[in-house]
Amino acid sequence: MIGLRAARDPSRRRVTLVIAVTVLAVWIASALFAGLLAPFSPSAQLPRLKFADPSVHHLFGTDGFGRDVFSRVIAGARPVLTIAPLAVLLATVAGTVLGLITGYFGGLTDSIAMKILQSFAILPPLFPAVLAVALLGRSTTVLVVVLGFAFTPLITWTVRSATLVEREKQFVEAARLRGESTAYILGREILPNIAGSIIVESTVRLADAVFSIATLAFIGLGAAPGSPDWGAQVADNRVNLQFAWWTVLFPAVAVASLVISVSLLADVIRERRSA
Amino acid sequence: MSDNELQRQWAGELADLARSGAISRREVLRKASVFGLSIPLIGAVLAACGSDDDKSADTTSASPTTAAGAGTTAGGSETTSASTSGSTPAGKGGILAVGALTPSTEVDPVIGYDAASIAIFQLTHEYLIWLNPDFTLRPQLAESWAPEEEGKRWVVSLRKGVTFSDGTPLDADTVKASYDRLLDPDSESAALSAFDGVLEAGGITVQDESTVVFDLVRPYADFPYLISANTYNTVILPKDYTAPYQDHAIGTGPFVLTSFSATDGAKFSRNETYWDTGKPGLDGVEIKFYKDPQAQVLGLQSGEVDTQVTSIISLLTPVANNPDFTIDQVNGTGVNVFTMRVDQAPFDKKNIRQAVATALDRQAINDTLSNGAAALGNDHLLAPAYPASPTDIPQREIDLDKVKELLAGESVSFKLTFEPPLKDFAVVLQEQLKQAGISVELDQRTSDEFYAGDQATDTPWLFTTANLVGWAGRAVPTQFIIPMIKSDGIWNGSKYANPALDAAADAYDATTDEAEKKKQAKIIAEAMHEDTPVIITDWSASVRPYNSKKWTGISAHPSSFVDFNDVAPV
Amino acid sequence: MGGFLLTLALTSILIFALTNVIPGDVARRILGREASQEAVNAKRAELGLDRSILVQYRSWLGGFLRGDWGKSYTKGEPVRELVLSHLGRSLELGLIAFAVVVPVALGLGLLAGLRNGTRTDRAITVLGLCGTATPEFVSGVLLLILFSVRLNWLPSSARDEYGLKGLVLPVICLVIVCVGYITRMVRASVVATLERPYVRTARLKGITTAALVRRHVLRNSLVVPVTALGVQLRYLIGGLITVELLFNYAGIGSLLLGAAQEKDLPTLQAATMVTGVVIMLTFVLTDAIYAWLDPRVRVGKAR
Repeated sequence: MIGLRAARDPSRRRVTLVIAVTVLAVWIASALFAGLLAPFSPSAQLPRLKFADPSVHHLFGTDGFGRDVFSRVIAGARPVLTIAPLAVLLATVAGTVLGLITGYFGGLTDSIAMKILQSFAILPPLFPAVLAVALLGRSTTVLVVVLGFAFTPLITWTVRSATLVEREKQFVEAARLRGESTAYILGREILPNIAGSIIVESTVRLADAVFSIATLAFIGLGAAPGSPDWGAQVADNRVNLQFAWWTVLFPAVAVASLVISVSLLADVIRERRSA
Repeated sequence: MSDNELQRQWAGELADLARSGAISRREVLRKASVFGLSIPLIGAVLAACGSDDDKSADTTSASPTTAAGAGTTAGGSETTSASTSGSTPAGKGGILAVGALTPSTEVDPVIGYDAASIAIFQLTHEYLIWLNPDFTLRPQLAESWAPEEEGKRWVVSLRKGVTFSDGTPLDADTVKASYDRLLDPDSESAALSAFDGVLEAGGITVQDESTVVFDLVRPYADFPYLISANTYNTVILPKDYTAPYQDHAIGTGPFVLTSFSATDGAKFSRNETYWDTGKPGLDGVEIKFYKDPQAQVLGLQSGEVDTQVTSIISLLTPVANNPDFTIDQVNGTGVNVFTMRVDQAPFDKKNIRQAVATALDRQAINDTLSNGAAALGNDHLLAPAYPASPTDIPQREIDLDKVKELLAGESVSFKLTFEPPLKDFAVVLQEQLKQAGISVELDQRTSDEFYAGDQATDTPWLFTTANLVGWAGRAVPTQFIIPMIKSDGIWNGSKYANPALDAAADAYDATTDEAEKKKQAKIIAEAMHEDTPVIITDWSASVRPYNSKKWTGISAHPSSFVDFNDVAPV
Repeated sequence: MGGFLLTLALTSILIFALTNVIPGDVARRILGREASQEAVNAKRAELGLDRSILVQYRSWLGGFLRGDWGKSYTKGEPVRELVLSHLGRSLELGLIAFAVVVPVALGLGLLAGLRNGTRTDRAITVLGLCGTATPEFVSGVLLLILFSVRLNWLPSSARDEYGLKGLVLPVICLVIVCVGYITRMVRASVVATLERPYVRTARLKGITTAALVRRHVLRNSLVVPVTALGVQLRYLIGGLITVELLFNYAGIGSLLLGAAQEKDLPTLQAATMVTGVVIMLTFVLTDAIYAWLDPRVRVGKAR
């Protein structure tokens, strides 16, 4: 009997849960209390201590400007936890709704929606972002909207595909015969079955979002120059990887830990529900 | 060609100055090369100097100390591993692989402006005069040159027997055609601005088959610099040249183009009919493009390439401690200028500008951004590398008490506009000014946006309240001063207007007298230092790493130019 | 078919319009900041940029439909060869990467799903997540340092002249990014299948693992990489920018990005149209594969 017993094993689930929640709690605390937790200001420069190895004084070492990496990782939690999850949430909600509707109804709705989706999928990279900046200016809100907008098609596509498969299943037919409303069918019959795929897609987009913020910096959106945002730190410091690995490793591990924790947490919640 | 009356007169003045210790032997040599003095006359001047000592503080470029293959650090110490004068190479042959950053526009000798494009056409084409890394001039297609009419007319004698790689002989008509193309008022070349106010279309005449005469608009003692590699688009092209370069790459240079790919790079083989017999030693050169600077360094480390056209000092750390590599370094006149609009708040008051300048820790900027390799700047455009630069203006240093005094309680905040390559500089400035209580908002624009618009009315790099602009080096200080700081300068972003400074700049160009040049330079420097329309924190050093286990004869150049004539395998 | 063309036409109009809103001047980019304003203005006129947008668009459209795609403003090369060669390279790299990722991800995903909840499962999940959470400019650099600099087994860039040898590191880089994602998808679908009532029934009846996999799990899970193909191909074609920059690979992603930044309209338009066609073909292809894998799935109106 493969899998089934292990999945129900409460102690394993609990350990995973504890680890995931702890990590998230640490980052949320960092986002809220960076001022208290960080030993140095994230922007304070000590040029004579440029690229110092990790040590007792600087747990994660210093970067090319002599800034304390530990403080920057802690301070970086706030921008990361503010923008990336919001953008992904926006994309997930929008994408799920659009994907369910187009996948279920098909026909003209689907055709039109797909056309529009494809139009945007084809646009050159960053075009919508640059346009948004030109029209709406540079701000955090614009950033969240732009990223959310950028990820919506991907999630819509995934949800639509999964819906196409589910709508042919017998339980959907059964619900229809029972006279359930469309909203019920979509929300209570189909959605729970495809939730797994949605969650996977979203958590991957989370990592994507963190690094997209760094990429958008060059058009002036995203992390302002000097921001301790993790994605920006990794992007800025990868050129120093050979001789100052700590400037890349710690922010990168921060991102990975966030992504992994959220994913594991999502997995555990889903397993709990279906058990 | 023997020296004329004017040259003999200058030689005499030079000898006097040298004897009195006012200028060093090196400066004598440099000036002599500009004046186009013949070898015997130079010898006579030097003999009159007597001693071999360098008598005054001289910060020009690489002192030829050998480093015996030991690794050098990218910052701080300044060593070369090969002398820049043409010593006969030990071995011969081989193909040198060179890394370069992919040009985003076509390689074009007339309009090309990025270092990789320039390096490519510098391998196949040549100038009248070459610019050495120490700012001395070396005859290339011109054999000698002499001024007349106090420097308002220059007569240039071409080297005899030079042919293009297709056999066409080089003659005065060809040289005139090349220059006419650049000086045409409709010319698209940046060279047009370099000759602005000095030489105009129609000013070039052919005296005979191998003599070209330049009649200038005004006397300009440093004219030979303008017809040297310093104005990088002035390569001599065949009379019938048409774009694109890769289809018509016929030049007089040491190499011929054998293949070209806009994405991957260019390949060259030795020009067997090159006029400098015996050179180049190399069988060929391969330029490989990289889109990413770090990838370029990794390519160097893995042996895919053995040297680079341009290098970023901070990226060379992995190579610096590797004994197989040497990093040649030379002081340059490249600079990142912090411009403030003197006609807009908050910079319309001198004390505010001085406050910002005094709040900066220049050595820290140098350490952070250049690993300490740069030379400190003192808020004026007379770089330490220029012989005429004053050395007695007190170096402005960080003094937070003085800043408070200058601000007199006023709270200052402003937006600093820049393009991505200057991002790190902006971040350092922002933090340093924050410590002094001055709040800076960083306004990063894409490069396209930064330089777009109309240069007369609204382009960001010339019209924002405070901005950072990077400049490649120039051999003559007025090439910065006239466009950037003169009242009617075409690239005057600060809108500074000082008639006394204008007059001094004109006087500097007109005179050949070394002492007079120093006097005018001092006037300009003091005015700029006092009024502070721009802040200059440091002058860039130029570095070039290369695999010294495999090659000798590679050196750095203040403008990242390439000269591989003396490269040989170890 | 008609809708397809409509989308393309719409996109091409969007691009023309948007390029004029975005700041930047291609004539200035070509001549550099030290060229005179007169020269820049003349260059704009030479490129036809002083005409109204409608005129420019009509002129471009006419040429494009006739097969004359013009010359790149900044590179001077004929656009058609430029775009097709770059697209070819991206497809080559993308397909090789996909060919490696699919079997690996299917295998790992099945394993993780079947051993749901065990240490194996967690390990595979976490490793996969680490892969997706590592940006290409980090994994790429690490690969270059290890295989090119330290071991000197592979070249530092993916130039045409190196052939397949140059593609090894970029492929590994892409595999790292994609495998975690598809593995997780497969795993999720396997777990979902295992929890279906009819599967539980089958198990209670004593079905072997092999038969279980063959008859139920695989059927549902194979659909997953196909979905992923749709998403990933968009990425593999236009989104490989970081990999292309790091390995100097002349793919369509960096061509598009460069053209958009430089406002090199002929290249931008042609590259977008061509990429668009490929992506649309992907959508059609994946819909067709769905229908083939599961005849009950009919893309179209719901009953």
